[in-house]
Amino acid sequence: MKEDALSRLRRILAVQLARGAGLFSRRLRQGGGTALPGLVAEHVAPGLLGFLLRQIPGGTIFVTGTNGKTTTAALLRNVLAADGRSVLHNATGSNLTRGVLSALLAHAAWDGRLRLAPASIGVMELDEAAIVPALRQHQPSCIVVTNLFRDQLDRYGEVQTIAAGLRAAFAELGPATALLLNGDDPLVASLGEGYGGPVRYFGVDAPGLARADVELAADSHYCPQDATPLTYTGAYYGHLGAYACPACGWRRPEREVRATNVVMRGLEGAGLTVALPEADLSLRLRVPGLYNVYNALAAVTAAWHVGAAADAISQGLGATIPAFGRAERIETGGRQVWLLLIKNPIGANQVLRLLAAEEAPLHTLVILQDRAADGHDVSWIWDVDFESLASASITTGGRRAEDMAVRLKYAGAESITVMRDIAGAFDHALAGTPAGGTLFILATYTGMLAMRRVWTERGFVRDYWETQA
Amino acid sequence: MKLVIGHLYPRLMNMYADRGNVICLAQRCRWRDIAVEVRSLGPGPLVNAAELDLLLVGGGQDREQLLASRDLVETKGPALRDAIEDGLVALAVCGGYQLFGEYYRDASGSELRGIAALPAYTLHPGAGSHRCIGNIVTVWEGTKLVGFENHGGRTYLHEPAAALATVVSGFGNNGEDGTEGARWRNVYGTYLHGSLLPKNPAFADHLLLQALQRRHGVSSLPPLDDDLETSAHHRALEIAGG
Repeated sequence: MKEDALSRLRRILAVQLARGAGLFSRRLRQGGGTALPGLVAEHVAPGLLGFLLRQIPGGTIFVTGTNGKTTTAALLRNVLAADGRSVLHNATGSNLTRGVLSALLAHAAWDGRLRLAPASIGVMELDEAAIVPALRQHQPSCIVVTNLFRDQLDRYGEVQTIAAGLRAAFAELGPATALLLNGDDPLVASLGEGYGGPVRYFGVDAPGLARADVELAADSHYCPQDATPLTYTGAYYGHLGAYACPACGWRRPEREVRATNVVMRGLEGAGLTVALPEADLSLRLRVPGLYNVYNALAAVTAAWHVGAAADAISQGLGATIPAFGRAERIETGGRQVWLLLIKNPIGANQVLRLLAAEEAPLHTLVILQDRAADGHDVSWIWDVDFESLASASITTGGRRAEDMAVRLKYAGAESITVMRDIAGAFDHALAGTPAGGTLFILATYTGMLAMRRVWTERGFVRDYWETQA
Repeated sequence: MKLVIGHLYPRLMNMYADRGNVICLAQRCRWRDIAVEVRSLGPGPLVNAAELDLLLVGGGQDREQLLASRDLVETKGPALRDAIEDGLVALAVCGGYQLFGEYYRDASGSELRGIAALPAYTLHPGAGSHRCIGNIVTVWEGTKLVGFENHGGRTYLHEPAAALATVVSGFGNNGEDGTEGARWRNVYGTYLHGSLLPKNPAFADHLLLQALQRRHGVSSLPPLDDDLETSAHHRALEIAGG
């Protein structure tokens, strides 16, 4: 489609304004200018995203889903970099259209033309809502869907509604876009049914890590065809597992990419073998938990789909450390401190499962916020199995520190201190942790950012927009 | 002394973590040395309904609500209605509240039947309408209740139901008449999540006392140390106020 003069002018104006906004935002230290330039550009030139993405010679991979987007994209980025590609990536977890635009505009000349190496490829994380309008502007080479759990309902609506939105958006795509889907997630797997282009499924085969039935916080354990409750021969977490519908026989699809021999190594990571149709890869992960095994599988599937070499896959995965705040470790005052993001019941239960393997008594700081990025409704904490922290020594912090304290009290905890101020809560929790011991911080999204801001000010870590190349 | 709590549809109607209400009531019994048994009541016939002292149900997603409606009206209907007429204390939240009313007419105009334990009905004003979302404060018998509401349907009461509370800030039943929730016999309906009871211990104890009075003739409950609950209550008031 030929661009008219007005659109061209808007595009150039958008690029210039976005640059100014980025400088301005960095100067004010309101974040690394990771979203503001894109926000400005989005309003001035609505078609800019498609214009920029079309220029990437190796195409773009979209990563979406409820949990694991940022880590999956980071793993994939490192694999593709190890494969010799030049990767464009919205690395800071700013996963709305504006975040993608900002990442791309960093490579744009004055008129919006991207200056790129020939082997460039895009890896863009988009949240489940933002991907729908983005797909109207650009058809990516493939779309990875990690999982669909309930998350921040006051913002996104019900998980069924999200799936319906994705299904409708995918139906408009041409056969050049492949869907790479988590086959262990019934709702995600159902997105592949009737899709016009290629579909590839990934999943886990680790009977030793499965439980007999889905956890109580799980949703969507219903057949997408006839809404009958699914039966599981093994459930990993949330509604992920080996499922079948007892009424219509609909079942988990054949998965081309499977994780076997999964060995969990606590917070240090995990080992696994990935069975690809042509080879088995033995992999070592430095990101912890079964949820990250799924993220690694998602990344492997995408890397394999775009033809990355096996060596690059194992090298890239092995080099990836958790994305900022996802399982970040610092040492201060002779104590080890872990910062772990919790943002919904399923993810939080996974983090608690990791802590259950640590030596008791645990020293913890739990930060609960209720800003837009956390979800205004804090009810979800009652779906999290915090009972496993009953014997822990706990400080609660953040705007909803009191709510968190009540949740933990009803979970059976007896040692709870409430300190709304996050820096103060951190100091208190750290002082209560014996020398040589470990403090575990669980924080919702803006709580995690606030904690890191404190650490940055104290020189423990760098700003998040500087942590990834 | 023992209290039996029925948790209706713990899997089907589990969207807004209303199981916090079950956790809260069970703990407040244990802390008072009252034995407590929680029964999960999934789809299927309701057996031994007369043994239940308290019944709780939460909100679900649309599809789950459809399944629950069928089971509630067709399978559990008569046994549950008898228990309610006999004075069973029940708390129904959000989608559960809608199903405890007479019917729910969704955005497309099709009707979901309720069990009519509350003289109330719910209408969805159509696909383009806004959802009622946000922090909410109400007054119930002179005591403030705090929570979070998130519903598309608008609920309207008629005789002989009374509103549970009046809205101070937020939408409540329908955003029009200033009412929130409903009460008829010993059945309470409300849109408040949070979960509701842990942050509103006075209301939690009101339900407990009513159930214990009915079964065991108890006339008062020993007080608990509610400092944390009260501070969470006040914090929610503060945040709802801006």
